[in-house]
Amino acid sequence: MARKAHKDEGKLAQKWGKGPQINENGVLLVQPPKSVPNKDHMQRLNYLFQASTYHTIVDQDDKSHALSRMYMRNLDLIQKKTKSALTPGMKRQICKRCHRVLVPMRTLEQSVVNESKNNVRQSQVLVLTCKCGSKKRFPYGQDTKYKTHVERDNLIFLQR
Amino acid sequence: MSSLKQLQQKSARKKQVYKPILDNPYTDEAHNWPYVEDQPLVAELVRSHVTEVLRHAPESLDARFGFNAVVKYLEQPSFETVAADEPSRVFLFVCNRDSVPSVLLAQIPVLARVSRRDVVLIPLPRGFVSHFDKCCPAGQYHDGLLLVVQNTDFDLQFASQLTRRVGHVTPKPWLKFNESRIGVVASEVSLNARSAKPTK
Repeated sequence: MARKAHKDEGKLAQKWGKGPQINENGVLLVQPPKSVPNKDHMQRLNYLFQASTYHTIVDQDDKSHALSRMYMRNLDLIQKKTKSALTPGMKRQICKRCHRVLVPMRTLEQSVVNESKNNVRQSQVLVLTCKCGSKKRFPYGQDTKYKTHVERDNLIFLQR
Repeated sequence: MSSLKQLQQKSARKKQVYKPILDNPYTDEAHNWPYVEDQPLVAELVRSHVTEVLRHAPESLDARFGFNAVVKYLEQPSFETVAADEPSRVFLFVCNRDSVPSVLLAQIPVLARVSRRDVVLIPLPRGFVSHFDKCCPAGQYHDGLLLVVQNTDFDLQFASQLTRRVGHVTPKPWLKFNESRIGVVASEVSLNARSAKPTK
C-alpha cells in the first residue's frame, strides 16, 4: 500500500516536474489542491440539501413543504454569506421563488414545449414548473451538445 | 542576472487557480444510473428484440418515444387510477452516453424511483441513438428515451435476461446520508495586479 502511494507520488512529480510549468497560452499551471478551505460550509450546505430533499419526498401529506423550504432557504442564505459555489446541476433543482426542491411527482411538472410554427427541433424548450407556479426554461434545442462549465472542465473531486 | 525560474514566471501572464464547488449528491452518475453487465450483449438484445421489431411492426409492442410521453406515463398518479389488469413493469431505455442534453436526463433516474410503476432503467452504450432514429415514428422526437411496457406481447425470456443483467442501484438514495461531493474547477486569474483590480 505504502509502495503504491510512493509510486503515485513519483508519477505526479514526473508529470508536474520540479520547475513551474507554463502552457502555450501563458498560463502558469498549478497542481490541484488536496483540500479546500472552509470545507465545513460545504458540508453544512450538503446536509441542508439532503434534509430538504428527504422531507420533500417523505412528507407527502405536507402540501406547503414548510420544513423543506426552510432548510432550503437556510442553504441559500448560507451559500450567499459564505460565497460558496454550487454546481449548475444542484442549482437547477432549487426553485428560486419558493425555495422548494424540485422533485418529480412531488413538487415538479416537466415537459418539452415547442412553440414554433413548423415544430422545428431548434425550438424545443424543457420547461420545469414548480408547485408555486414559477418556471425554469432550458432551450436545449438550440445546442443539444451544450455542457455546463463543470461538465466541460471535468470537475476534480477531492478525496474524502 | 535573473534565473530561469524567474524568466519563466515573468513570461506567464495568468495563473491557474482552483475554485471549490459543491456537487449535487443525487446526480452522481456512478450511483444514479444502474451498471449494466455485458453491455454489448444487452445492446444487441435490445436492438434485435425492441428497435428492429418496432421498425418493422410498430404496433407489436406497447412503446412510447420521447420525453413528454415517457414522463406522462411514469407520472400516472396512483394505483387507483391504473386498472388492475394493467401491467406495471416497464423498461426504460436511455441513451445517456450519446449527445442527449444532460438537462433532459437529469431527473429521469429520480423519476424512475419515485414512480409507482416498477421501472427497469437501462442505460445504453454510446452510438445506440442511431437505432432509435430508425425506429422512431416520423414527426416525433425520441430525445434518447424509449419506454416499453411489459405486456403479453413482450418476450418474457428477454425481459428476465434484461433484469438479470442490469445492476440495481440504491433504491431510495434520499433515505441514506451521502457525504458531500466537493470538487474543484480549474480557472485562471491574471498575474498582473493592475489588470486584476477592477477599474473605477
